[in-house]
Amino acid sequence: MSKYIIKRLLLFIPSALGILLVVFVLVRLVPGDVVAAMAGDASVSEADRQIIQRQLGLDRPLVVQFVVWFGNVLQGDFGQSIWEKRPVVDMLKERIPRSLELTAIAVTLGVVWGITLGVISAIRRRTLVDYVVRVISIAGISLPSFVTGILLLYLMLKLFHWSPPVFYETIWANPGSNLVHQMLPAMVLGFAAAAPIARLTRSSLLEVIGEDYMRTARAKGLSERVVIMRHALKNALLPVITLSGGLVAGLLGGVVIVEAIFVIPGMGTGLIDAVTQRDYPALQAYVIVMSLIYLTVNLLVDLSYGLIDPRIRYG
Amino acid sequence: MHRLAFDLPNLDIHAQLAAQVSTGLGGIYESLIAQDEENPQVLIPSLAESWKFSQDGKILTFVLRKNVKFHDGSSFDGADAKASLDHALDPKVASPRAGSLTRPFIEKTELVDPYTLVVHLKSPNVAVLQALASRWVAILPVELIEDQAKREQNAIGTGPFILKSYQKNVSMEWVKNTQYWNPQLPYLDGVKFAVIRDESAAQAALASGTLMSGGGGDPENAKVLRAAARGRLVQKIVPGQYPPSILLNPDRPPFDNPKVRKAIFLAVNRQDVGARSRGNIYELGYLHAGIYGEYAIPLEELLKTPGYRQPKDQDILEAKALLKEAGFPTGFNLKVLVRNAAGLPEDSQVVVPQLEKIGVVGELEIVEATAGLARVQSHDYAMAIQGLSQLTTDPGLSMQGAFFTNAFAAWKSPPEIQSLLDQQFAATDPVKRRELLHQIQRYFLQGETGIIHLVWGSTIGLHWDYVKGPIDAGFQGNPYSRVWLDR
Amino acid sequence: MTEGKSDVARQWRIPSARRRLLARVLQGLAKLGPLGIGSLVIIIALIGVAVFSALLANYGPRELAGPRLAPPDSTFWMGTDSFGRDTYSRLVLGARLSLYVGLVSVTLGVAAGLVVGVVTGYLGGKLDLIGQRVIDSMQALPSLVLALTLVAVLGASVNNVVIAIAITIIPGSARVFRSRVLAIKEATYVDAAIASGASHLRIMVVHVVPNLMAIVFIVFSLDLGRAILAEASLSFLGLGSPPDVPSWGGMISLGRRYLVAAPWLALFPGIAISLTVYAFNLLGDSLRDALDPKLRSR
Repeated sequence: MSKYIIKRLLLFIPSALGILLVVFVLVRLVPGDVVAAMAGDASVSEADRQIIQRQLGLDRPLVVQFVVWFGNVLQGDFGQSIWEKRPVVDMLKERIPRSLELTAIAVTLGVVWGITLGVISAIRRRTLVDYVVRVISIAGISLPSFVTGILLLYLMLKLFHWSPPVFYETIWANPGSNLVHQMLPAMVLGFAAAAPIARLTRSSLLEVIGEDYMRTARAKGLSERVVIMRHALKNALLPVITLSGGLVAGLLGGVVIVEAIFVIPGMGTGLIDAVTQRDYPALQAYVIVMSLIYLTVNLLVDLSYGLIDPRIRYG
Repeated sequence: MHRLAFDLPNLDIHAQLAAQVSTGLGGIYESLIAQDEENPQVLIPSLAESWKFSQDGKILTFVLRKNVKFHDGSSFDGADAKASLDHALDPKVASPRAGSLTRPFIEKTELVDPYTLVVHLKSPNVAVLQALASRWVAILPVELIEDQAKREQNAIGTGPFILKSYQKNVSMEWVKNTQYWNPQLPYLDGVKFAVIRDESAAQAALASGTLMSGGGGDPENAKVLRAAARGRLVQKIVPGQYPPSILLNPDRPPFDNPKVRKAIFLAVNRQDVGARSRGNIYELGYLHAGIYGEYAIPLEELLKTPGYRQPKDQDILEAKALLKEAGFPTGFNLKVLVRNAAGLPEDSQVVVPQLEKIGVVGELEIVEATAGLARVQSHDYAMAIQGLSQLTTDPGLSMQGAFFTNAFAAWKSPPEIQSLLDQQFAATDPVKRRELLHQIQRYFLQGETGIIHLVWGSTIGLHWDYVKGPIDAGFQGNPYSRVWLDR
Repeated sequence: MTEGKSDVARQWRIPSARRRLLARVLQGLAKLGPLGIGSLVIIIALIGVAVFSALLANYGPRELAGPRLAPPDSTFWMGTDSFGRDTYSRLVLGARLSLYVGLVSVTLGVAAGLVVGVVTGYLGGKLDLIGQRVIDSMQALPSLVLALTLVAVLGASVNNVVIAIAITIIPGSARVFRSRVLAIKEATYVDAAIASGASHLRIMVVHVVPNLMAIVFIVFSLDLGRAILAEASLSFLGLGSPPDVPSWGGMISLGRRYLVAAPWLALFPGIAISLTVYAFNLLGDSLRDALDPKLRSR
C-alpha cells in the first residue's frame, strides 16, 4: 500500500514539471509585444523598449528565462502583473478561494444530485422514471453551461425580478450574500456534473445488484431499499469517486464560462482578462494553478481509491 | 450604488486613459478649475479661486484657494499644484491624457508665491482652460507625485469624497469628506460603485434595484427595463466622445488614389451605422453638435453634403463612377483591421457590408485591443476602423486631438489647414472662431483625407427616480457632489 | 468492423451485393436502438442543413436585411439581431461552421491521437514513458483553458480555432487508443506477423490499426460533440471566429446582451447547439453500446 502511495506521489512530479514547461512554451508564443501592452496608448522609443525588456529579463536566452522563471515559481513567485502592476500572487490569493468555493459547491451539488438520480433510476429501471432520468442526464452533458446559465439568469429575472448581487463578498464577511452569489453558477455547473455521475451510479449499481452477496442480503429478508442503500451503494460508489475527480477538469473549464455570466471575480474571469490584456505573468499563473488543482484532486482520488478498496493493487 | 463598467488598472490618475477612470476617481481628485456639472461648457473655480490671461494672452495666472486640506490631513498649496502640472507635462512620464491635453499648449509653470501659480503658454490659446479643467489633469499632493508605487495604490485628493475602500475588480467605496473646502457639499454621505463589466448583468442589477444608476446599454433594452419599472427608471442620453471612423491609408494602394478615398467616403451610410450599431442615439459630423453647439456645422447643411445625403442612391452612383475612373469598375477586395475595443467590431459589422454596394468587399480582421493598437499606430493597414477620441470639451481641442494629432491616421494636415487650426486657437472672438472651425470641418467633408468619421455614438444612462441631481455627467466623470436621494 | 463483416456474411447467405449491404445497414441500425436512431436522424438533418445552407438561407450572413431586433414573423422566421441580420439565415449558415470546425478538428485530432497512441503503445519503452508524461500534462489542462490559451497564441480565426480544438483532442484519444493497442499487441496474430518477419510499420498499419476502427468511430463521434461545444464556447467568450462569421456561440453571445429586449436571439442558437451536441453524445453512446460493450463501464 505505502509503496503504491509513494509511486503515485512520485508520478505527480513529472506531470507538474511537464505542465510548467508546456505553459511556459505556450505563453512565449503569444504574439503581441509585452512592452506595447504595458505602454498602453503611449508610444515608446526603441531605447526605452530595450530598457524595459532588460528589466523584464526578456533579452536573455529562452532556456535561461525558463530556469529563472521556474526557480521563482517554485518559491511561489509568479512575477508582477503587467496590467495591475502588483504581484500575481496577490491576485491569485484573491481569486483562487472564490473559484475553489464555486467548484466545491458545484461538485457537492453534482454528486448529491447525480447519486440520487442514479439510485432512483436504478431502482426503477426500465420504467418511465428511469427513461426520464437518462434523458435528463444526457441533456446535462450536452447543454452548454452558457445556455443553461443564461436561461437560469433570464428566468430568475423574468419570474422573480431577481438578479445576482453585484458586490462579491467573501463567505467570512457575509455568508448569506456569498452563498446567494455562488448558488446559481454552482447549480449550473452542478447540473452538468450530475449527469455523468447519475449514469455511472445507475450502471454500476445495476452491476453490483446482480452479484452474489446481494442475493444473500435479499435472501436474509432485508427490504430492497435497505439492500440497495446499505450494501449495493457502498460498492457501487468506487467508480463514481474516480469519475468525480476527472470531472474537476471539466468543471474548471466551466468555471471560466459561468464566472463570466454570473460576474464572479474568480480565476475564470481572471484568465479571460489575462488573455485579452496580454498579461502573460497572470495568464501563466492561472493556467498553472488550474492544472495543479486538477492534478492534486486526481492524486487524492487515486489515493483514497486505494484506501477504500484494499483489493486494488497497482502494478 | 452605481456601476463602473471597467475596473481601473491602478489608481494613478495621470497614467489613466479610459473614460471610466474619471468616474472612479471623479469625487476624489480635483483640478485647478472645474466644469459645471450641468453644463460642461461653463468653467467654475475649483482649487483655483480665480484666473486671468495676460494682455498678450501668453501668460495665465491662477490664484489658488487657501485652507484646503488633502484627505490625509496635509495642506494644499502651490507646490502641489506645480508638481502635479509638471508631472503631467513631463514627456518622460508620457501621461496619456493629462499630458496629451496640456503638453501642446504649456511652455512651463512658475510658482510666484505659495498661492499664485503662473502658466506660460506656447502661444495665445483659449482652449487651455478646458484642458486644465479636465479631470485627468488632477492635482495630487507632492508626496504622491514623487512616489509612483504609492500613487498607484492610493488616491489622496482634495475632492468632496474620500476613498474608503477599493477592492480590485469588485467594488469601490467613497465616504463624505467632512473637511471639504465647500462646506455645503457633498450632499451624499457616501457613494458605492460595483465593477460590472457585463452589460446584461448590469441591466439585471439595475432592474432589480440593486444598482441605483448605471449605463442602460442598448436603448431597446432600456425601453424594456423602463416599462418594467413602470416609469420609475429615468433615462438620460449622454453625448459620447468616441467617434468610430474609417481610416484609409493614403500610402497604400488603392487608397493612394484620392478618388478611391472619396468613393468610400460617399458610399458609407452613417445614419445606418448610427441606427444599427449605436442604437439610434448618435450625432453626425466632425464636431459634436450636442456638445459644441454652433461651432459644429449645422445638421441641415450636413444632410445636404455628399456622403451624408439620404437616401443613398445618388452617393452610391457617384462613388461607383469614381471607382470606375480610378480603374476599379467592379470594385476590389481587402482586409479591414479592427481592434476589439469599444464597439468597433459592432460598427465594422455594419459599415463593411455597406461597402459591398460599390463592390468593395472587406474581410474583417479583428485583432485583440493592445496588439491591434501597435498596428494601427504604425499605420500597418490599408483600411482600419478606429475610434479617434479626445476627451475634452473644447471644440478646437476636440478637432485637433481627433483628426490632426492622433497617432492612428496616416493623413498629414496640409499647411493651410494647420494654419486654420492655429488661428482658431488664438481667436478670442467666438464668431471668428466658429467661422474658422467651420472651414476646417468643410475641408474634411470634401472626403479625400481618408479619415471618414462615422458617428458620435451616445450612451444611455439610467437611474431610479429617487436619485436627484446631476447623476449622468458623461465622459468627464462625476464628482457626485450635488447628487442626493429623495426617499 | 472487419469482424462484423464476416458475421453478417455468414448469417445472410444472400448473393446480391445490394441486398447484403441493405441488410448490414439494417442490422447496424437495430443495434443502435431507438435513441441512437433518433440521434442519427438529427445528425443527418443537420448535415443536410449544413450542405444546403446556401439554398436554405434567405439572406446572406452579413446582410443587413431588416430592422434591428425584429421579433420572429413571416419574413424573419427567427427575428433579426441587433444589426438587423436575419437570425434564421445565420443559424442555418452557422450549422456549416459548427460542422466544419467539428469535423476537421476531430479528424485532425483523432488522427494525431491514433498515431501517437499506436506508436507509443506498440513500441513501448522509453518513448512510451515520455509520451505518457506529456499526455498527462496536457490532460491536466482543462481543455477549454488549453483551447483558450492556444487561440490567444495563434490569433482568432476559424482555422486557428480548428487547430486549437484538434490539439485538445489529441491526449484523450491517444490514451484510449494506446490502452487498446496494449491489448492487441498480445494477440496471436501479431505474434504470428512478427514471426513471419513483418516490419513494425507494416504490423501497425496492417494488423493494429484495422482492429482499432470500431473504437475510432466511437471516439470520433463523442469528440465531435465536444469539439462543436468547444467552438461555441470560444465564440461565446469572444475568442473564436470573427463576429461577422455566423457561429452559434457568437450568436448566443450577442443575444445575451439583448436578453431583456429580444430573448429569441439567444434562444434559437441555444436550442441548435444543445440539440446538436445532444445528438452526437447520444450517437456516440449508442455506438459504444453496439460496437464495444466492454467500454460501457469506463
